[in-house]
Amino acid sequence: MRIEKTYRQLEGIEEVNIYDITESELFQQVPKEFDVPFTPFEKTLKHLSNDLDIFVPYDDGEDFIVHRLGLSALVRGHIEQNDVAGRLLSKTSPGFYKVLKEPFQEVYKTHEIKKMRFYYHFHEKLARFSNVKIIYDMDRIVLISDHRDNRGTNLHVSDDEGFDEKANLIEYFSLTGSYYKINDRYTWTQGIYNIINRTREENDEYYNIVFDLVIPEDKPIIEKMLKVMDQKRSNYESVIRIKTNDGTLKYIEVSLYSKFDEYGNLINRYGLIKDVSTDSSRKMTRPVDFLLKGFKNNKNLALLIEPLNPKQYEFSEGFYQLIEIEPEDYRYSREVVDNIVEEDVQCKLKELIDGEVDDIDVAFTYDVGGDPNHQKMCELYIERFEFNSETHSIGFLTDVTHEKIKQRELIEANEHQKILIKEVHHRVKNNLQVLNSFLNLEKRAYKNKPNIIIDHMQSRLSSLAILHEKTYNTTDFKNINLKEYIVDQDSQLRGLIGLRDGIEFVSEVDEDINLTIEVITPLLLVIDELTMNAIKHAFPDKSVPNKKIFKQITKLDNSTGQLILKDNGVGIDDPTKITKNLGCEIIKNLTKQLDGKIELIQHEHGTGYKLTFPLDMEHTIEG
Amino acid sequence: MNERILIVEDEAITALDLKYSLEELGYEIVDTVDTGQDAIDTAAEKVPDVVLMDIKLKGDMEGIEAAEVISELRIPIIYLTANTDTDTFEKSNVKGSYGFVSKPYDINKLDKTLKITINRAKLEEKRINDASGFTE
Repeated sequence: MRIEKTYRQLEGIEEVNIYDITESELFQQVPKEFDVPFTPFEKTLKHLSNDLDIFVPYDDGEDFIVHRLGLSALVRGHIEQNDVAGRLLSKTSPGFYKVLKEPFQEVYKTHEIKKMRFYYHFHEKLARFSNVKIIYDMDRIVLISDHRDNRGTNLHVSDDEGFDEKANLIEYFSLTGSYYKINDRYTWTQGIYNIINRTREENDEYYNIVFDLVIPEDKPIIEKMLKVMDQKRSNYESVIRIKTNDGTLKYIEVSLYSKFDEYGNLINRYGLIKDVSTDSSRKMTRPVDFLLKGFKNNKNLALLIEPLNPKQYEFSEGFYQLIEIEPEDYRYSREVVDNIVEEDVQCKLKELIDGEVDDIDVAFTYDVGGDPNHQKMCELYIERFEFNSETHSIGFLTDVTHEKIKQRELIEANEHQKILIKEVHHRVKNNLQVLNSFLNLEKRAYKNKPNIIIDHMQSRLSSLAILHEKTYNTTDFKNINLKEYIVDQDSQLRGLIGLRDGIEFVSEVDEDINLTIEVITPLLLVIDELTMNAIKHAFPDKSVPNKKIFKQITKLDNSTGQLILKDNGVGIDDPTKITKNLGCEIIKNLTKQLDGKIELIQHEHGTGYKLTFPLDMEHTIEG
Repeated sequence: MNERILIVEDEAITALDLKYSLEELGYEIVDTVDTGQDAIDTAAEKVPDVVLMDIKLKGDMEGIEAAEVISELRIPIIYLTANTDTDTFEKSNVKGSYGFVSKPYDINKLDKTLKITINRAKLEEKRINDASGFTE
């Protein structure tokens, strides 16, 4: 004999499971030790539906003298009242003494009523159970046992009698429940709700709340079961699997009973349902359960079991996460297919569903909830195949949104790089052309003065080199800070000419002048040209000290810049003369390219030019 | 009579050099402009023998776009550009396009291309006039 105790908090009841109690533990033939008084109403008590056992506390509650036992107990033990009355419980029924000693003592001391439930198990099967109340009354311990279970009812009997009793009794089981179906209305016991792990809902009487949770693979079993039961078969038993709303897979033992009238019409159906998930024999899972569990935490890759079978499909977690529908809200329908953006993919899928093709391997865009502003990119593979003469299907759905976005970004970046390279090539070639053209122009103008040509060309080459050097590490040809260029240009001029000819280059440039490359290129060339002019004409006497070429570049407003370049040289006697030389022509043309205006400024010592120019010119990347 | 050329070039120095170089070779430069719209307007007004067209121009209109309009005037176009990639070449190879000279240009090659273009254009004009019943 083995005893296990559990306290059911919700019911406020103590449950005692008694395993394999033996005959000798149940009853021992021992001599009568005590006289017990006659029990009043003994005759009446025999007719009660409940057993009523009476005990007298002995040795301050250490033991209990049997006063009387109820009829069921006597029948079950094949004994008479005289076999037990006046004996100590510990001697005549050591087993029950073991079970009842503590609760009896508790009631004896507290005088409070105690409710208990006893389950009797034999050979790992539940044989019967009883609900009891232990009451202290008139110095006696009274044990009232539910009569109905004292008959030793076998819960798995298939006779169709006593449905009401069975259903009521089953209520007490936490992992067993039952239901009636009469006139297409269901009545569910609490045990069912314990099994499916939810509370009662309003519509529960209209549908089978347990069979609704059966996993697709086991639905044929239910269909077969119900079909057979409708054909006058009175009972059917099977084990099926359900998936509760919280995603738990449970094995349940279903016993169905039907009642038919004399014409063979179904009067009602009654079902006993037991959660047998914890039975060791049921712990075996299908290989597919193993796979589904393996896929459970995979958000981007979903395993699709029987995706082409509306009654048996089973998808891993990733599927529901991808379409953003809770598994319990999902209904197999073509609506999901309709949310695919690409019509050709929709057609292919429909062909597959209709059996026109046996597999598909597609990539598509999915409108989550039909919302075109909430799209995901997916890849889907589904294959239909034969196994054991049955058609099955399996598939994989992959969420590749993240990868596709990355891929698209890479492609775009690559395209942008290609355009930039083209742009750079174009600028290099264009600037080579400009240098070539400068050379042509200079050759015509200074046929016999190669040193001048070399000076000029070196200066221009340096300016264009600065441009290339500065733009080498940037992709932004729109916001080039001018000051850095001017500082570099001054440095180059100082190296090329300044030190040799004793000319100082001084520049003041506003910090916040940012120009496009379309503006900065001709601007640097204009500055070059004006500087060359100044060097050539302002300082004919190379021995004069403190030669200075001064530049000031300012932002007049948000759209206009101004360059003032002046020297402290000899000045110009006749300004009309200078407009005819090549230098002036180059300046004029570069000013035109800049959409700018240039004017000569005469001042006390030397010559100056004022150039105004727009800060922004449209920049187009070459295509 | 000297062949008359319209230079469409947004790079001022290149345009200036082209003008002097071609004048030295005996061509008459009818104008030098730097936008697509100015090219169309000047071509329509001055009807040059050839338009020497850069592809990248100042403003919104590209050289190819301007050339398509100018070709309607049956004025031959030679592209002179630093854009020598296949895409640009394909795009520029449209009606009215007679040649493609890449920058930095060789003035002798440009001269030959101009001469061939002018001859071809004249022959084409003659063929059209003959077909229409006109004689030169």
